Amino acid sequence: MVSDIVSAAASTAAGRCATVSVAFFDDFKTADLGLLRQEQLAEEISCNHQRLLLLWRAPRALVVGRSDTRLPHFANAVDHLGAEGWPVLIRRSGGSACPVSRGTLQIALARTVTSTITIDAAYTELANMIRTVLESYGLKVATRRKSSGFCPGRYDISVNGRKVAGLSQHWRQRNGQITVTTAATMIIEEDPEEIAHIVNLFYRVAGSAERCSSSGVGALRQDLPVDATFDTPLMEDLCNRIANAARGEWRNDPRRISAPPFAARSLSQNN
Amino acid sequence: MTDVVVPNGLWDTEKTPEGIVANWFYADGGDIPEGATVAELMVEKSTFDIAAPGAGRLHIVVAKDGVVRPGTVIGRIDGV
Repeated sequence: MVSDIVSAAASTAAGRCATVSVAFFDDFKTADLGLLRQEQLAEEISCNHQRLLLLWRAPRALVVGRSDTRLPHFANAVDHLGAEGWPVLIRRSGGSACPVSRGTLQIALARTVTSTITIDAAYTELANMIRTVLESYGLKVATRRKSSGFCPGRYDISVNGRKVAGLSQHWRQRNGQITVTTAATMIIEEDPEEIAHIVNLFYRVAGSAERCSSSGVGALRQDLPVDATFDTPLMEDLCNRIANAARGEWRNDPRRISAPPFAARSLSQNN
Repeated sequence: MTDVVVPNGLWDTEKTPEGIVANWFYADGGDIPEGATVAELMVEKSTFDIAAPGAGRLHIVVAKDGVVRPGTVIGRIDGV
């Protein structure tokens, strides 16, 4: 299904390949499939100035950075978390442990790198998009390091002082072209205490002092008014807002070609 | 001899002064093909794959976990 959407966009752009903003959702059976899709996203960029947006979710897994694999008891931690129902996966982007689950949303924005794009510029592009979406719910958003959250970094996104999204990046050079994929993990309807527990369990068993606090982790559902209602399930509503924000973000680009409508079929089918 | 260089302007050194060489994917003295990913940098939760600018024998200048900045020569390739 996703491939169909991408193909449709590409054929629209045939003959004048420029910016094609593609927003699509996929609901994977396992997190390793989603992570593979995310890590291959940049390979689908067919021309300069193109940006691809992927939104996905999958059953539970803890996705760690490659540096985590050097922890003294990493193999024990992998076994331990697997037994807890949180298989451990290793990602190519930087940072430390992040959760994947049906209650979290994984966001990936892949783009070619032009002379004005730095690590910070690419982070800012996705951070601003997420910030715009959260503010559309009437939430007060902060973008700064949240040391007590999972996978802390300078582009942590917090609501009410609790981290709801963390960003990381992977840059590649291929055939003379540089691409960057900025990825975010966003906590939507997952229990922050469970996230803190599983992240801390991983690092404790692996032999690391790194920890996160449940009071430093938030979830979008908890930050919304109790009586907040939407026309669609929250995850679907959020995905639509992200896709709309992406289109708005890029609206001023004269080379932009309209994105296809956001497809939430797989999301709806699994709710 | 071709230098393997951390690209200039890759990150804002006022915000993040330094990065590290997180991995070398080829051994010192090993033969590498042009375009192969030879090393991985880590900067502010970002990983950056460094591609070999030419084919030849790799000489590692900055070892794994060594500190780098934009413009740093991390290795050299002796052409074959």
